[in-house]
Amino acid sequence: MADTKTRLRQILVDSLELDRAADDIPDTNLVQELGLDSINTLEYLIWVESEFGIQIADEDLSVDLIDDLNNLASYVEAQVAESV
Amino acid sequence: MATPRRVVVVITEGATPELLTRWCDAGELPNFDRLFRSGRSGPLDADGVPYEPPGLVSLLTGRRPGDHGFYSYWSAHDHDHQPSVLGAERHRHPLLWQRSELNGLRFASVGIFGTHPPAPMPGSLITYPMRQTLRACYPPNLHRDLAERGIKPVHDVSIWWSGQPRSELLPRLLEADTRRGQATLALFDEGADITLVNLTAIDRCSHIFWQELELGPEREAGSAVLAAYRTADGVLGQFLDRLDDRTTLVAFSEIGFGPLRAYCSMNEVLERGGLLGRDEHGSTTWAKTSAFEAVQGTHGVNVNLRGRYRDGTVDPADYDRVRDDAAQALLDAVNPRTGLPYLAAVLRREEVYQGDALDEAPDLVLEPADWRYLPLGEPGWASHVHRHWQSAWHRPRSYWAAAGAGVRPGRASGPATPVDVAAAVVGYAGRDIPRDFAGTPLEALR
Repeated sequence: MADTKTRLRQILVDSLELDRAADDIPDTNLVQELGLDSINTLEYLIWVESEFGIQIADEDLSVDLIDDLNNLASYVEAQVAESV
Repeated sequence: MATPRRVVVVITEGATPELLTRWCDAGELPNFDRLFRSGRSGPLDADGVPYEPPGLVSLLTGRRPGDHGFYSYWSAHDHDHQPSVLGAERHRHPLLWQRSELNGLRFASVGIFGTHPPAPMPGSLITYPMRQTLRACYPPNLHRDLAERGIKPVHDVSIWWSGQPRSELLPRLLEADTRRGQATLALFDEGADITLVNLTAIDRCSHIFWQELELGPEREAGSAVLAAYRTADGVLGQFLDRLDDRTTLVAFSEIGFGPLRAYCSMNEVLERGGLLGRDEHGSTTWAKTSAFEAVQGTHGVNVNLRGRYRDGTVDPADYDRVRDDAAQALLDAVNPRTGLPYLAAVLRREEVYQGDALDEAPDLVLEPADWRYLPLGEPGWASHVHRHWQSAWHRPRSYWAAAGAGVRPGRASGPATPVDVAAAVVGYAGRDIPRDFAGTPLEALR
């Protein structure tokens, strides 16, 4: 889980071109903390799909999924496990 | 071997001739002005009700709405009376890039309704999804590839109008067109033979901010609508700069625009005429309904036909009588805002549309007497998209213009329709016009 969250933090920085260190990104409240919205969230998740080789279903897109790194990391790991 | 010819189609959705002329004359739109002065242009009329889907799908298929059956973003007839979004799987005819006459050409298509969900095609596709999705392009890695070059196209559904401040909404609407333009230019520069892009900020800003144009000429310079035209003008200029002796640009809008005072519930008219029933909460009682308003954009009314709908009440033998009764009730209705009839005409669908997809059209098509007062449409979707907040809606008359290779400068006086643009795209690409295409190449219009 820790490794996945580390990768997700770096993807956030790269995909959204954040002017901030990946280590400084908190686990929770990311929508407010990073100004995630309906546009940059999709950009971020497109990179997540590509980096982890998974598919995020339309019906799984939600604020809860991207507001908390623990939620997204769990989701990603489950998807990766399914695809193995 | 002959040098391949290239075509760019820039759809400036919602651009209306009066504003284009006024703002070109005022020097606000230098690239539209350049296009009109250097190329050929003329009026364009919607084929039926002026709505985006029928016009865009006519461009994609070369067929009229009565043939292709896309009268709205949603289906006009649903078994459960809940209009469903129309997707690419509903096409009855091949899209341009699926036609054998255009074999060997590479396409790029960005932001055009009727292309979602994406399917493999010869080139690059960014669709027009109607809900949030990560799967709106082909090849599947296209978004990521573009993003790595700093190009991040945006879907309209990601910029939902929810009553947010103008200062938040307007920059996003404009940015979406800028990004679509960047993506399209990149795909064109990669070698697409036929490039199509739909710029939607003029349409969206016109719906939302048209009232700013009514504050007087001194306020027009800061209006959101002008800002959207300027954004489209910028994208257009980048393509005009790329024209050469083998490249043709076609710009057009499938709809014009004009002011709106109110959407008017035709269901209320039908209820007063005893054709629609409601329960104590105001919801439609289907068991007591024989006619009802179809989904928005169709300007339609449907007969609640048994067999077609789960809760249909009208025996097929009574279809004509009920349709005539509904038409008469609608024609007799007076708009309390004006004291005049709502409608200039109530037409049977076969009087407006012809073709194999006639059954997909609403049973009656309403012609407004005053286009500032329009049919509301099915109330569920009308509420969801905040229709009552809008200050403008479409008009039938818009424009087309072409410049570059193969274009004879001048002005056509007779109106084109979207199927003529489809024929022109194929013709400018140097290919034979498919025999089943309904249109005439724009060059042939007088």
